[in-house]
Amino acid sequence: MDATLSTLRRMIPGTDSNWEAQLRRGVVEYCVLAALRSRERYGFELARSLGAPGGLLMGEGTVYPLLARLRQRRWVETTWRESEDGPPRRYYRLTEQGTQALAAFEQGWGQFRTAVDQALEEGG
Amino acid sequence: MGNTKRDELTRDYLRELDRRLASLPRGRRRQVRGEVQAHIEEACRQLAPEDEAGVRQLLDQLGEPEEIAREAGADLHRRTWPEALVPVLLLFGGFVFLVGWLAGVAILWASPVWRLRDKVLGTLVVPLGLMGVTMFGLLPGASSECLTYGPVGGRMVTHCKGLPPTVGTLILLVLVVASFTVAIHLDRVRRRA
Repeated sequence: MDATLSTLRRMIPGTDSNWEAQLRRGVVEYCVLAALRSRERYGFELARSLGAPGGLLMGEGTVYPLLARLRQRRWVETTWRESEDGPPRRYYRLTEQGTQALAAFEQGWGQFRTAVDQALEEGG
Repeated sequence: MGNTKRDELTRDYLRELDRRLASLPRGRRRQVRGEVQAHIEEACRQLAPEDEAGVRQLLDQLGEPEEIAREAGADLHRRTWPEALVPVLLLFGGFVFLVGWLAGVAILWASPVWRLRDKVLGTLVVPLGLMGVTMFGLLPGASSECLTYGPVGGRMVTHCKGLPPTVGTLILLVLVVASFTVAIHLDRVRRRA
């Protein structure tokens, strides 16, 4: 079903031309996972660190739907914790599944990057 | 919250976000909305109360509500549209030469939105939907037929066969309520998906 849809999308001209947005979209969720590797963080913290201008996000706010998606996929889980200067915060933490997904991505990304670099160099 | 310019900007932003997120399932919508609101509140705590430019900048950094909604997948066509028809088809499809109900059952079983339990429930409560209930109501034994004759010994005599009227009506009522309950349940499950 998904494969059919993406094939259809490719057949409609113009919908797949924004390579940067496409690439960002596929990659940024793994960057969020990576940001959670060392410790749990809350949304605002993640938004500020990943949303810096010229960074990976299209705006700080887009990290929230992304986090919701990762949570639905059970790659991250959340806990509410009290904060010293405001209402409780929702903290995000990597799950076992999330850790595995991140590891698989890292391996695949390395190979992908090498392949693209090679293709660009050989083509030139 | 008072009525400062800053509250107004925030309120407009969140209202626009709500509008854009409207097509999302409730759980996801609430999470995204809640997190964005918490983000704004936290960022505002670092600002002076009358710092309007600061608020504008923070909303700017947050990004367009449209962008957030797009990331959330709140596209028009992502909504499970054939599934949305299922409750109606199951309830009323039976009246359309039964084909409507069959189509409803077909979508019900083909869709990943529902679990096996929901699919069995949707199919068996009640077969053919309200058409099934109507057919039950028309069965010879379902409601009582009474024959009054007489006078016998100076009195009219009434003989009834079939279920007593109250029991028949009660069963019909239960079937109707059950059909609607299952249809509403299926719709809720779909919305949560």
